[in-house]
Amino acid sequence: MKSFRAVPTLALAFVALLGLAALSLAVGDARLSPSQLLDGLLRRDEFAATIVWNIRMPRLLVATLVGAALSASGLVMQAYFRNGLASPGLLGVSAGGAAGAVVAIGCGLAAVSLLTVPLFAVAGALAATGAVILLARRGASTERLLLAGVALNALLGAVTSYVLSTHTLTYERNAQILFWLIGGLEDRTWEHVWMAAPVLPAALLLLPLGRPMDLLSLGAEEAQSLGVDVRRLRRRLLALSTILTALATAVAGTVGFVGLVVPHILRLLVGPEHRLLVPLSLVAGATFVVGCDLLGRASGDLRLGIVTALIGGPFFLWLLRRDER
Amino acid sequence: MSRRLLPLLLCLCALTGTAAPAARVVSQTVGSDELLLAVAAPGQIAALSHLASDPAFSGVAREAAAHPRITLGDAETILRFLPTLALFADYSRVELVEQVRRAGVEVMIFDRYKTLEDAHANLRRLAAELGSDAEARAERIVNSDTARLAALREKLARAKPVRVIAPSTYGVIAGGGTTFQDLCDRAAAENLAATLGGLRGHAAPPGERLLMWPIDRVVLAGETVGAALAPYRRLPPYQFMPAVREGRAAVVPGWMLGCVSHLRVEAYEALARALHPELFAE
Repeated sequence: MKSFRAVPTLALAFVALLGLAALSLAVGDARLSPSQLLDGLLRRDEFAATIVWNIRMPRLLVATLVGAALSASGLVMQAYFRNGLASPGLLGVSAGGAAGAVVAIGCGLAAVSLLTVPLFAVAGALAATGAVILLARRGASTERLLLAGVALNALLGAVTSYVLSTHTLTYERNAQILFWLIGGLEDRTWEHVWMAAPVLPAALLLLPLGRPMDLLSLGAEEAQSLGVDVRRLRRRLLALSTILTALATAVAGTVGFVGLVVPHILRLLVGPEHRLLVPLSLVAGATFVVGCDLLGRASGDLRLGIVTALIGGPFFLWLLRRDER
Repeated sequence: MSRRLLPLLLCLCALTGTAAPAARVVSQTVGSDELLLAVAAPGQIAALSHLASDPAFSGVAREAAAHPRITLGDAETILRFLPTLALFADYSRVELVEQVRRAGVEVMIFDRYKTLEDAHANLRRLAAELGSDAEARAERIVNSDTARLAALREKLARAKPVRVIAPSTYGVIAGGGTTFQDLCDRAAAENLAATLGGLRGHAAPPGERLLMWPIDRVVLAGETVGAALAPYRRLPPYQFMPAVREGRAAVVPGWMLGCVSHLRVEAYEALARALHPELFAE
């Protein structure tokens, strides 16, 4: 019954995304008037065009890609582990990305190039991804995979803590490290957009997996009996989820709760069918992050990760309490 | 009419030296705030950093209060002041610097600021961008600093170095290669964290060994010895140090311990006065 709500929900999320995107382009510290904004969009005014096309637009696009990536990744993790409390950071990919970025900053490499820190973040996230996929290829059970994720998170957290305790002394360096640990979108450039762009093909690869994910949610044996190559499906899901998380972490740091909150809200709205949830989570995730970024900017530059946690934390607690009942 | 008057006005401006270049400068760090305020004409300052008016970090807090400050740390906040030049340090976020540069604003990045010579080089570099008036101001400051430094050196020529450390409540102390080390070198002090501890940069103190160092004074930021020492009287391992217990401390204003501009000359003098009061008795 709820599945009938999927199309209106998708349309609503899409309209909300467009509205928030327009607002995101219109609002900023440069306080452009509506006519200046239009001149900027049409490149008739150099200053306004710089603000709109070089500062606000990349930020908006990165927010959109990060939101879509984290939300879809969370949905996949929840389907993979058949546990509603699973999140993109569960297997240590976000921690790997953050550790890579923090090591680059701690070693003073941040000033070398615009892409140094994001590339280190990608390297850290991919190293964690590689470790997870290697375990999965060896046929590790979900329980072992989870335990490996706990160990990876602890290990990479220790690397981050070490750098924090030994290399953070200037205000600016602390701010840079905080950016990666809490997550943020300020001063994102077109390079960050291109870096996060592979989220789109990854999302496209995920779209046809909705139906097999539905079958997987019945249980591995049932899915197998219905013709699903469970092992192959799990590997693909794991690879896509970790790649989405790695890309998001590389350009925006560790943004929590998106992958947990958005899929749950969508399940409440349209039910548990993944063929509907996958496209919805992509659009709604993007809407959620663009909205949180706007909220953060309106509240005196609250970092993205703080806003998502402020919304996601209480929701998570509510979810736990509801599950207890 | 106005066309005929324009060359005349330009000549007059040039003769009287009133025409400062139309630079509009935004400064993103406290160090560059101090340099900018020293050499720029007031009309050339578009905005200062958000810490510029905080006396805990800034040596120009009072002067900075008269200028706009960048409250948020992103590029749009800087660009809204329509700067022609933006000042950063090498530890400023690279994305921020790049965004400002891509907006067509000239960017100046200070990457050497450990010594007074570095500060003077930065002062001259900035002044060269701001015009001849600024360059003249910079030269006056350099000459004055050189004279003050020579006088201080003479005064401290026969002073016995005072053995000090600069503790902090953050769990680190300043070793060699820090601003504090530079202060010690100029104010006849021996930084035990560097000489006995072998520490470089800001590092965790060697817990128990620290208690064995022959510390004459601890150097702290603050107004009075009592208030500055209060947190350390409850903080291990400092609370067990004879120097802390007996109140042997030298206090200087907070901004001086982290000053990276030419204003560190004031810090040299203040620390020397606090450590060698007998030499400054007159």
